[in-house]
Amino acid sequence: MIQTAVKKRDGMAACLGKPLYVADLIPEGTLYLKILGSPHPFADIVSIDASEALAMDGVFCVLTHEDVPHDHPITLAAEAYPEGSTHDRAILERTVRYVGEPVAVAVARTEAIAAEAVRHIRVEYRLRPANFDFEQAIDNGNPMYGPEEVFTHFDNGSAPERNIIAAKERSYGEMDAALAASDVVIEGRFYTQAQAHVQAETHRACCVPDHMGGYTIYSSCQSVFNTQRIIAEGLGIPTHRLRVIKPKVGGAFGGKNTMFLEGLVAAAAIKTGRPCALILTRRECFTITNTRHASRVDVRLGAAADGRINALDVSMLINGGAHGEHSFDVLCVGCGNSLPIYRAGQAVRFRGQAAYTNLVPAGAYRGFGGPQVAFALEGAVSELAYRLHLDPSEVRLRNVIREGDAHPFVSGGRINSCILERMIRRGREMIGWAEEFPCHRVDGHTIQAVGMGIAMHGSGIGGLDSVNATISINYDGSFTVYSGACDLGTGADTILTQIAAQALNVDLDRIRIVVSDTALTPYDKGAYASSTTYVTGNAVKTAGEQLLERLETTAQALCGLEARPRLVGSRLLDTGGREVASLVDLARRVADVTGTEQLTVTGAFKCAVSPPPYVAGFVKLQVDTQTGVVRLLHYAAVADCGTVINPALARVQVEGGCAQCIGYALYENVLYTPAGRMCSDSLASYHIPNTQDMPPIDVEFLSSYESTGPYGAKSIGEVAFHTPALAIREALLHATGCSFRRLPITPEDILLALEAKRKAGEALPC
Amino acid sequence: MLDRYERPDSLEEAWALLQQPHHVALAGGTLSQLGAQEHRVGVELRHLLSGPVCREGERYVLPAMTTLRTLETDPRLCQGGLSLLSRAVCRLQGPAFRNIATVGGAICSRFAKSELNTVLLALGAQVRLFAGGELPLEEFFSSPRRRDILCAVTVPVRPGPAGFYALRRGDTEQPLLCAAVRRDTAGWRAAVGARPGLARMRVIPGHLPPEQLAEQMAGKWDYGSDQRASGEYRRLVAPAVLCRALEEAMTCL
Repeated sequence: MIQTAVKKRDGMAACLGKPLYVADLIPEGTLYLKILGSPHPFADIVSIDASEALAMDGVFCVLTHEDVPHDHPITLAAEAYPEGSTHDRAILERTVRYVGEPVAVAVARTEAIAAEAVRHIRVEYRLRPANFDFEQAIDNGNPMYGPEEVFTHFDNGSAPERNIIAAKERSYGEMDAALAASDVVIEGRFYTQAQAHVQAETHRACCVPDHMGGYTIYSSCQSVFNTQRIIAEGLGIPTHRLRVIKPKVGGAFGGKNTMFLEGLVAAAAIKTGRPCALILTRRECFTITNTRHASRVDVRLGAAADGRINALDVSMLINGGAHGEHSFDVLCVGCGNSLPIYRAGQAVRFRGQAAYTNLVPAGAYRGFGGPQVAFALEGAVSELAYRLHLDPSEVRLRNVIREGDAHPFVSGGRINSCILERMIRRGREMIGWAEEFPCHRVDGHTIQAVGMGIAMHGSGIGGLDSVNATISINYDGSFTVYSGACDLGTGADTILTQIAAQALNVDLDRIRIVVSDTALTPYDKGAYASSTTYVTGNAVKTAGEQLLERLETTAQALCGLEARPRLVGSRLLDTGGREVASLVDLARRVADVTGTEQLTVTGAFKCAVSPPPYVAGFVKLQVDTQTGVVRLLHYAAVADCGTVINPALARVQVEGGCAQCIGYALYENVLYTPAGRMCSDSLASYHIPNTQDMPPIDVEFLSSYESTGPYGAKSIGEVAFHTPALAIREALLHATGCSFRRLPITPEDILLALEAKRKAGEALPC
Repeated sequence: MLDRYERPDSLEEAWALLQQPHHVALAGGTLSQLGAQEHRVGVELRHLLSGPVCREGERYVLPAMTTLRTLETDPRLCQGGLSLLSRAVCRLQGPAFRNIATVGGAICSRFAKSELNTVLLALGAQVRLFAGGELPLEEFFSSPRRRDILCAVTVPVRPGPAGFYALRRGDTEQPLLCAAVRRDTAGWRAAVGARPGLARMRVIPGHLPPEQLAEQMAGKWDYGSDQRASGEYRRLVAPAVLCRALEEAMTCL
């Protein structure tokens, strides 16, 4: 059942356009919401006059900050309690802090009427001076929040009076001494841009009142339980009155782990007593939800002359935008899930800060701090090798962390499963490193080069994540898995089914799965931090194993056997291999005849560590030296996610992650006007790579065995993203001799760097 | 929003309607932004501007409703220099879009980024206006907008040596710069597009090798900045882009 490329359970239905998504489930008679976004980047709302809008035919109500509690700040990050995100907002704000931030919401019979109503809401603002530059925001004397407007569950470094959302520091060894003892020190300042998620399905939610005073939210979200808890808190209603259901999701990538809409539809449903829905347009999805954190990362890397890394000092500043969701955790990942890819030399240090600015809030995005730090760290390693005239793959082989190594920053303190050296060697073969490294000339204006990068991530959040999963045997001998995890289109439900089938030792088609419903499924934190296979998978495995044991002991008792029979396929066999009962017989006797308690087991899993998965990525590309245009010829990714539960689903995770990061490396950039309005707000002005932009991507899995994972598995979702930007950057260094330290790397950057080189009289590498 | 919809029986009638205030032409509506202005009466033109691509002497006549997809699929337009037409549109979104977007729409909208307009200028396209008669595309582009009806565009059946190059990062992304050239009796007709401002045509006489010619040509356009690239970058790459178009054309000489 595991290590099999089982098809996604809902894959064909999705292909055939069956009604699976939130928008397919909106009942008749639903009212529609439209948001009035702030035209100003920073302003206090003085007054809102909605009388004209309310007088319009078909308009039911207009929600403003007066409709929601403001007694204490909340966060919209759907993270497990106690979340690290800084709490700094309400469901609707009295002060708006970015262009597009919801000011009021019109609720009407149709979307068109709601849109028209929004144009008739009059708002008076008191403008405040805005902060747009995240490098200048901290300590600039213009704080965006007062101290009473911010709350944290624990000290996450938040300092609103300084415009600091969160901070994180870790240190090991004596940095100055270690740098002084190094033969060579590479210093560099790297920048990465904000990135839009561009899910196929835009953000959407619908809230339906029921006949018992409750409200059911159907949401395209990543965590039903955290949504339930936080939205209830934000609305000041008891949690049990909200039920949250996640139907099929058309892509999330972290962007749907901030709950922009759920509070609004619920507030509207409470106020009107009618079902209420909100579907964001593509433009709204760009301009009012969230982005990846833009970053500035300073690296100092000290090494011996043979390339052995001795000291690593990383200082990260991220742009959190207008609100505090996820910033603290992004810093944590930038530290603990990124730096331990290399063995700690004499000293390792991480210092991180997140700054508030009056821009679209940053949030979770696949990789979550990892891509930012990896770009800088691997950039420094590339430059180290280049400076020392060494092969960068050899420099990495000399320094990568190995199984059994301790590292002060890694969750659990020690690396339990890792085969990075094998992965690097295999990746070199796949890309033809021996023949291609570093570069060669193809024609008068084309240089071909190879480059690589390695990355790690985590599997769940060590020491924090805690989930449950339940499995019942039904009276027909089938099983139902109940899980609060959230499949985001990744196929996680299929993976959990495979794990259950493996644990129970039954065929896959005997298992059904009920998911992502706070009323029916046991608690799960949801889909973030690369969790479902590793964290929920472990809970399902435990439940399956315990249920199998109970099933067999029940059969033993009911059949009066001396020894426990074994379940094989659909039959229970005694120690002599003879059938004592079929599974159907047993299930019926349990349910109907004997008065035996129905067999239901809940497995729990507490994530003690966060074992890193790894990817080694290799690119072969061509640069046009007359235009600066980069053409990718081939990408090879070697991935270690431990045991591969479903090779097909794991492969598409890696392919999709690579595609997304190729966009990050070469095309995608969130841009603002000088007045702070996001202007890259459509797919015409924000290009994401499509299939034709993709080079052939070869994915190969080399599996370590992670003893804490279900059947040896680790995560794959996020680590799949990181490597292309690193490898492309390194290949461009090899091709041009120029160091590109800012993403995305555009033809313009490349051509201007080549021009500067020409003017300085420097030759190209080949 | 429209209050009324008119479907005139003739171009004369349509033209007369369009001279009235608050009347707006409807010709497929792929990129119409009716909400942007105070239009109240829609005047349907689709049935008056449709028809097959046909030959008149040494020119092909493309009715204004000719879809971009037709430029890719009509075998007569995929030969020799005319094949530039198909290359100018084949990266524009997907076939579904190109099946509804029209040649007339591309010209009348005067899209600054249009690869098609760049190619049409170099090929020596002419527009046929209902009231304004037939005139070269470059003249149409440089004259102020009038309330006229674009009935068709014509292109030479045998344009002779021609070349096109579009510089782009991604396969379906709009180009950062593009150039089309065609050799005719007066010299090289060249157009540079995909930069802020309308595609503009210049005629450059001479028989220099492509690199020198491109260097000489490149200075004849302005290169502005936008979200996609700076003017400085466009100025730097213009010779290479023109040179690649010229090299292609010269292989046909």
